[in-house]
Amino acid sequence: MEQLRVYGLSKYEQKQLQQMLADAPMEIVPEPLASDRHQDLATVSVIIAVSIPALAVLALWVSRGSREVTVERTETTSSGTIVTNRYTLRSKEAISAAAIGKLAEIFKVDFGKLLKLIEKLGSV
Amino acid sequence: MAKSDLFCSLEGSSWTDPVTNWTLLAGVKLDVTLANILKRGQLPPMSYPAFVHECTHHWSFHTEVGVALAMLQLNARRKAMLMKKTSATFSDLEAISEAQTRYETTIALLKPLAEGLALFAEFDAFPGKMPSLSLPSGWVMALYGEPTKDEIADENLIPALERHLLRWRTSMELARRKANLMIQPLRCVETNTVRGYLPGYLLLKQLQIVAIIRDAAFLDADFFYSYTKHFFFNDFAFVDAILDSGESDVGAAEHIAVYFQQRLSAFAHSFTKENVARVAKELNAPLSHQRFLPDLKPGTAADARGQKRLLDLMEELRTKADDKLESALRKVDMWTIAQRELMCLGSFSATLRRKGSGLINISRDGNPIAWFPALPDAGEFDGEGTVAYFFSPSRRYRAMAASFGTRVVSLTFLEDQDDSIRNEVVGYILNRDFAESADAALRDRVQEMLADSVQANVRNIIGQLTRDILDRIYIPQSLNVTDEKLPIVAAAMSEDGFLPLLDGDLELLTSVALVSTAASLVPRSLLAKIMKSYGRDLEDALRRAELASEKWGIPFFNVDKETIVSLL
Repeated sequence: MEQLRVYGLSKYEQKQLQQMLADAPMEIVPEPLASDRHQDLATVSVIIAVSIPALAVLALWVSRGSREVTVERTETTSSGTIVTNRYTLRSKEAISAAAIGKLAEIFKVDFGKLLKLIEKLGSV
Repeated sequence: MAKSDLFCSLEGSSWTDPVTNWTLLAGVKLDVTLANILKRGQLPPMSYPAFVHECTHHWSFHTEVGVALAMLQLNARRKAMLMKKTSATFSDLEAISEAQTRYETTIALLKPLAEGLALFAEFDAFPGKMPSLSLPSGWVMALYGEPTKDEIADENLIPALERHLLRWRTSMELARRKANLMIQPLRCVETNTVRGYLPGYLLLKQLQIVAIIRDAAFLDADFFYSYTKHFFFNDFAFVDAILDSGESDVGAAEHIAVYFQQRLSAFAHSFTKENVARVAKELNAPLSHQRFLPDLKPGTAADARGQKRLLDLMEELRTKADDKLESALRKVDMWTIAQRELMCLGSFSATLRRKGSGLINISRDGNPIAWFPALPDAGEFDGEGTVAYFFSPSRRYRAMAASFGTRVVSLTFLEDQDDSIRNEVVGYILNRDFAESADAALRDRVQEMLADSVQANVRNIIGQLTRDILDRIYIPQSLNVTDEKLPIVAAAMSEDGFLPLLDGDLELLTSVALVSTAASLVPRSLLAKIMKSYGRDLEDALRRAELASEKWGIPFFNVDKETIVSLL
């Protein structure tokens, strides 16, 4: 299955995103910590299944905050090779045609459908 | 306010290492902001919360307690470097394990408190009527404040600091950061790692209320912040407990834990007029030649013992050993201790090129970024190096440095400095990549020496015992609820903090977080307007918070017609 991984989310952001994605299954992966270092609050990455609704929600969520997140697509090929492709979404440009086009290209989804859904959700 | 990208990406979180006192500010991209920093010396506004958080850690560990802990680790690392795994004796391993146990126990006990203090700096510290200003707040003023010409002429930058803090405390960026804190687990240990952000923070909030009841001086939240740091970290009696060689293994850990718990109990009884006056004076005391110590005479016999133990360790480092390698390692550690004063504000890797001229060309991916003046004996070079912006909070200087390998090849102070500081800083290792990899190698060496040993098992058991007592130390004091309600509320908050208390409503929690950061600084009517500008309803948030408060028996706010006092 193709997976979409979003890096560097705070717990608050992870919960926000989970609410926006309704009941979509989400795997939460804590990012590594050094036990004796005094760190900022921990971050996690989340893994969700690739779909047009998930990408649309993600792009809208990034555009509405003041944040940037790195998303990653992983795919296991028939030969067993794992292929990864990363892209950083920034709030200023997250729902621009260029960024949506890039998401559609990386995650191999229909650009027109993704754009249409973002427009629809964005107008709600 | 500039947009924040504090919660960003693969670069991970900001951090402070308690041994080297190295810091990383994840939000500062020095290569992008270099020109602005060189022009004005200031940091990008978005980096403020991470800066004040890490600066608090740096300040807390640039103290006698911090240096004692660093000394313990460096001692263990030196011993590990000098031993051969195959011929190490039981007592050799015991010596390393002993130092590790003391270090790890103290770090675990202090961690929720240290994090709580750093979070208090982000969300609460604000200058008041006391004459002293905390060191981090002073630097916030210098690195983020925007003083008017009149304020600069009058040499009074406090209003600029107040404006800066007011902007942040009424912003959605900080409210979301506070909301993120409020949904952390009310537990000190997560996946076997000590964290305890929420318990540590709530403990300090509760203690500030007690302090204010005892003495109005603590209405000055910046003073309470300084007082707390001073009480726990500038404490030679704690150093005595940490370094006391009278006990070993479990006995040593127990001794440290008992001392810490007694100190925590004593804190709530320490808010007297005499202590307020004494600490206010000590906060303004000049630093001694050791630089991390206020120039004060120790108070109690335990203080005197702690001071002596620490000075003896410093003396050992200064003394030449018979073994050449040991002498060299001591010298390296001496420099490590000395440069703990520095806080790195940002760094990046770049190509450094110097051929003949007095200038160094700094470039990335073939694109020139800047020209830095070369130090007289920098030599010629062409290859990968690093550029770092750092400052010494305690000795009050800022500098931009370029390093080629471990050598500093360019050093520009933002303010005039005398030669003694300049000569000292040139000897520091300012290449972050090199320092981090050397640090990691030494850590690994200690772990390698202790792997599969009896001592490793003992350390694990002590570590588990320490983690087991943390919740008992912190949780009861962090919640203002009756004894009857305590286990119920603590259980409800153990995973997602305040979120279940607010029926899982993340939006309500965000509004409550905003009220809690802004309420002490603006009147109720203005807060209502600010919240409205964010599409939020103050009265609705207060009403629903009150319902949760009644249900769980935990007070959120004290509200009257004109003001709101946040209790969380």
